Amino acid sequence: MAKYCIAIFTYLLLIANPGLTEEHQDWSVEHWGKVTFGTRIFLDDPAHQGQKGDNFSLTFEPTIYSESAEGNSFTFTPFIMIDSVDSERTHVDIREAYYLTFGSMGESEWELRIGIDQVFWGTAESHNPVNVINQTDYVVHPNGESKLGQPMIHGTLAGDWGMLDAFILPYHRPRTFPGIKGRFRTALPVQTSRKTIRYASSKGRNHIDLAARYSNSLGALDFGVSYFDGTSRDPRLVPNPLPLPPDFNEPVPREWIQHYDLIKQFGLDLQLTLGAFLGKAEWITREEIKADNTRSRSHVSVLGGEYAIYGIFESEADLTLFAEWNHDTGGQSLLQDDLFFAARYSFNDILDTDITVALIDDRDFDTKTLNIEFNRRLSDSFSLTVEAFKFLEDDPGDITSQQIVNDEYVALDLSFSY
Amino acid sequence: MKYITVRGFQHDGKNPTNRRKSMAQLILQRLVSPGRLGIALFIVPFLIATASVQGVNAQSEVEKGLEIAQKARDADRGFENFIAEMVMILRNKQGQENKRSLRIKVMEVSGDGNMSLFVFDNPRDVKGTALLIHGHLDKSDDQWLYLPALKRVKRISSSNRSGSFVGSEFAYEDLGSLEVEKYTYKWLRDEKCGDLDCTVTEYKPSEKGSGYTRMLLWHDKDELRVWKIEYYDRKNAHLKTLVHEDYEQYLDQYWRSKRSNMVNHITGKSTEILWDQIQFRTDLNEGEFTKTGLRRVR
Repeated sequence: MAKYCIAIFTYLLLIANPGLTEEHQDWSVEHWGKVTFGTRIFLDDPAHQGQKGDNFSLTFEPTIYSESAEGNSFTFTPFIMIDSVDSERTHVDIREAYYLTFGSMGESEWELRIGIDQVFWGTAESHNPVNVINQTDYVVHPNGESKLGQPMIHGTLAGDWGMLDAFILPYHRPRTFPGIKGRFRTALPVQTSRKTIRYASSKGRNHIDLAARYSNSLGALDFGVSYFDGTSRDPRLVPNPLPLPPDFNEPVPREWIQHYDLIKQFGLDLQLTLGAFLGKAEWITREEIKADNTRSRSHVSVLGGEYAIYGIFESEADLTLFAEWNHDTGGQSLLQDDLFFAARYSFNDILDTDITVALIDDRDFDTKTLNIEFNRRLSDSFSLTVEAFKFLEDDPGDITSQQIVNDEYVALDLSFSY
Repeated sequence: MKYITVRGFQHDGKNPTNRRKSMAQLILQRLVSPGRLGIALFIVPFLIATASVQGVNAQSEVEKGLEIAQKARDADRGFENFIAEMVMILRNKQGQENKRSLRIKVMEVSGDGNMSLFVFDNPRDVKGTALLIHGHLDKSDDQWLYLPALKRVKRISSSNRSGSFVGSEFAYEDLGSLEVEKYTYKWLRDEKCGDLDCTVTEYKPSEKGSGYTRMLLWHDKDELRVWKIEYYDRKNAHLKTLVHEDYEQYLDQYWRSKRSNMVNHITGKSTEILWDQIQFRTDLNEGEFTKTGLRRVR
């Protein structure tokens, strides 16, 4: 916590005292950010003991950016979330705090980023198995799109031959999970205390992970080939205390403990851009190595595409259709054999109004979920998001999704950007 | 002098590649086929007589149109690069305003279309969103979008040429440079535009996906600046009119309008563009127009 306080203090100092930065006249300083007031209204009573109902939240994500005349820069983005109900959702993170320098070397250009940063890999919409660098900040939104900042040294070399990114990742961030009072959790809560987290590596969270990705565009095809060797971002959840044979009911587990195995993951991501059609694919194969050195292998793939109909019904609006098939042999994600269908209607009006309807159909069980999201700008600074999540069908045999079957909600987010 | 290469053919404006066959050539080609030869022999002298008069006129109108387009293009060649700031004021029928502000960088590429980078500063919720375009002469442009909230570089389709750019009255195809190879031309007439002598030329988009059947462009004869463009939609109805004002010259050669207004005659909406901080031949680097450069945008 102390380091966060120092970080926030530094940020406030920099804003409040521009004189600090004006001393270095060739470094310009800019800042911007976003404050979001959110509320989630749950349609059902909570299913699990200790869970509460509707909640309010306030998030603040400011960025301070300083750039030298040569283009070298320092970016600092803390993230603060306060939740009225869940103490685990109330949290602070540093999304970005890195120094960037770049230059050219003959026909190629190079780039070096040192510090905390976020990196996105992937092409799909429903799930990005190749996106392995950053840990998921799950408490922000169950869609898993929010990521925690990751300390790294990130070097890039790019030229006519493509782009090569190499990473040294010296520190592991465990996933965030809702607390006892929070929604979108399993019946047993996940223990988030750092002391309880188990690592397959003897170096624990200080294991140095390595990663690299080569990417290129060849005509209509954009592709990336990636490799990751280090501690998994996906925890394996183990009950605590462990129920013992012969009677598996004793002792009764009271929580899940996060176990992070070592993995070696090879990934491939593709996008084919053919007019209004985008074909997309992601595939990973990974070997998981547990603390006792037992090994297993799994494959995760996403295959699909999107098709846009521009100026539909002779209007300014666009309709974009998405379809993706998710497959996971290891069961690390909820999407083991699931179809994703979505349609986005973009009005292309002055207020950038759009509405997206998404359906996920689990082919293993009779589980179907529906997501509706509406976005609209209210003014130059204010914007509104309304979102709804609902089970169309819930299969009692689908144990995983049964955990969140009472968490259908309508959410409203009002954001102020400056 | 930079040359533009079209499918390996190098020309400097003096050798038009897309010159249409003259009317006389076409008629002769159709008549001189077996079976029709008899009739052809009989009426050829008459046809040649009339066709040559009309044909020469048609050709000269087409050639004159092409010449205007090439001269306008040549006048704007060799700028190397420029940067600018742009404010778009979107107005609806009731006069309500909405602003977009963006930074623009453009780099000339020898032998291909220009590369452009658009970075949004306003509205604030899209601050840092950037669009990279690699223009091409002989195929569709390549476009990538950078979404700062997700840190995601996404290749996007460039087939939405007729779609609105950020809710404005400008379509994507109105913002790109008018590549000579992507239109066919016809000079229509000379007329006064304000105090200047202008030519009126019809541009017909030859690429699929354009929202227009044709455009009429008013160029002044002295400097070949565009003062007005009328856009005709797919049903050939007069859809929009763009007027350029406040031209300023840079580096004693390149003219840029600092104020443009696009009016949509069907919806009554309009978009005004105000340019500021225009600078030519800056120390822009090609590296800023790559996917790596796009990631660095703030």
